[in-house]
Amino acid sequence: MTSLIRSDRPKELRLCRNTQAKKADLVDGMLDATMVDELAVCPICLDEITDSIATLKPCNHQFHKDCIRKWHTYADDLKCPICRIESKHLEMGYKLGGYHKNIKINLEKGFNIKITIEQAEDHSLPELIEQFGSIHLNNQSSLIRDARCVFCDICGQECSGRDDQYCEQCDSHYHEECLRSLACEVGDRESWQQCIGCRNLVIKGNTRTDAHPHLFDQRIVREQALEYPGNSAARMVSASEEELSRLLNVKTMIQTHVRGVLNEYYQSGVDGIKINKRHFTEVNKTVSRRLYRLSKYRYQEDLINYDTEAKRQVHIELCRLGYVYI
Amino acid sequence: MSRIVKEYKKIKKVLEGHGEAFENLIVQLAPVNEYDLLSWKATIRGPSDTPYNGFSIGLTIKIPSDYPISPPMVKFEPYKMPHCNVNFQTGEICLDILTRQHWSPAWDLLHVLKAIEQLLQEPVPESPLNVDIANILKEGDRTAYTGLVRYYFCGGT
Repeated sequence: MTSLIRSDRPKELRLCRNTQAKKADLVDGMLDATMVDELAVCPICLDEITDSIATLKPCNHQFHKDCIRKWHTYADDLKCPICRIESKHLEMGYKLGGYHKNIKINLEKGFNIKITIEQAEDHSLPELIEQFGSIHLNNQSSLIRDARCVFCDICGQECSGRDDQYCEQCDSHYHEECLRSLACEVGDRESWQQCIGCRNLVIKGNTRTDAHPHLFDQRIVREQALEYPGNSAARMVSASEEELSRLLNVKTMIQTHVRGVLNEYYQSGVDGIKINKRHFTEVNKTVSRRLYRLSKYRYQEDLINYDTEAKRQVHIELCRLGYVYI
Repeated sequence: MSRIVKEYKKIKKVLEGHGEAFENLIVQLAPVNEYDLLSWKATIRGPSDTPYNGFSIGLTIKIPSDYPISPPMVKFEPYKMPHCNVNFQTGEICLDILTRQHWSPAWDLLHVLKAIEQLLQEPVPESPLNVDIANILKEGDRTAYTGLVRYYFCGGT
């Protein structure tokens, strides 16, 4: 791989290193000509930043909240698009009942979850257990402590971490990672900060502080609570092995239908369309995942006609890839 | 989508304003037609102090639908490009900032062309797509390099 980013290169392409960010050593002369409105422009969409400002920490570069989060769900690392300094947090301001509040999102945590979800989708589940099993055990032994907890409204387990989210409107608590994984599962990763019930923005609330003391009276659950480590992999591992093999089975069953449909396209061609191997795997992956979610992680043959549904979805995907039906 | 529209306006402005940084590099950078900003062509001047000096080099740029989250796809087309990091048959370029891992959405097409200029100035024979030229470069045979490039540009097959 030819690299222009490595440090032994001239710094023309390494863009701004400066933490103050705005004016920096871009390619000579490019700055004046191309970044006229630089102060208020989001470097990703080139639109002006009027509201929903998000600031990366520690480098202080600013973006639209949606733009930078879209980039983070896509990127392989957490480097700042401008200066390539590894980001730790994302600071965002928002208004709540007349107050202006800043929330700080721990990017590393979210990033680990993203990786986990991607691996869960790409690898078979037993491999995942193998990979994360040991981590889980370690945390289990070290993190047992007495805590009075409230439940996360998504997974039903205790909210006891510092990063838990709280909806003031509905009085409900969520794990940050539960909200994120749910948002990923419904295919809308950007909207994870909405309350499941009322769609309002959730706020970061330490569920163990005195902020909502009445909740603790109502919902004291156990004196000795086991805190799960802060990622969904651990939660998945905590599901029973039967459950995991059932999920794997559902995936296989659904894939059989999709493969059946795609095989026709691959081997003999349908309506003048013949696909190659790469598109075969690509479409197989997308459609299978979609059907898997659609059937709520169960194989429901009596409710869903998988063959028809697979045909329809494959059709859509192929059109998206640019195939034209004759 | 509106991002590429904005970029187009910006590029127009830069090229009309004869920004010095690009006057020596870009002959042309424009969409193939104005109604489809997803397909671009560019012509750049071969940088001085390289065997490409004096020649115009054609590129095609395809903008993916999720640009700038995904990097643009850049190829040397329609003419064959003799360079150790360019596939001679397909025109594919081995350049890290054009890959998914190293691309940054804060870059635009002008940055990309600047990076390609830099690649022409500093070929990297350690990661070749054209082994013949990489070997010549590794041996440090500048004359043969220049000769070969000129041979291809002046009508060699």
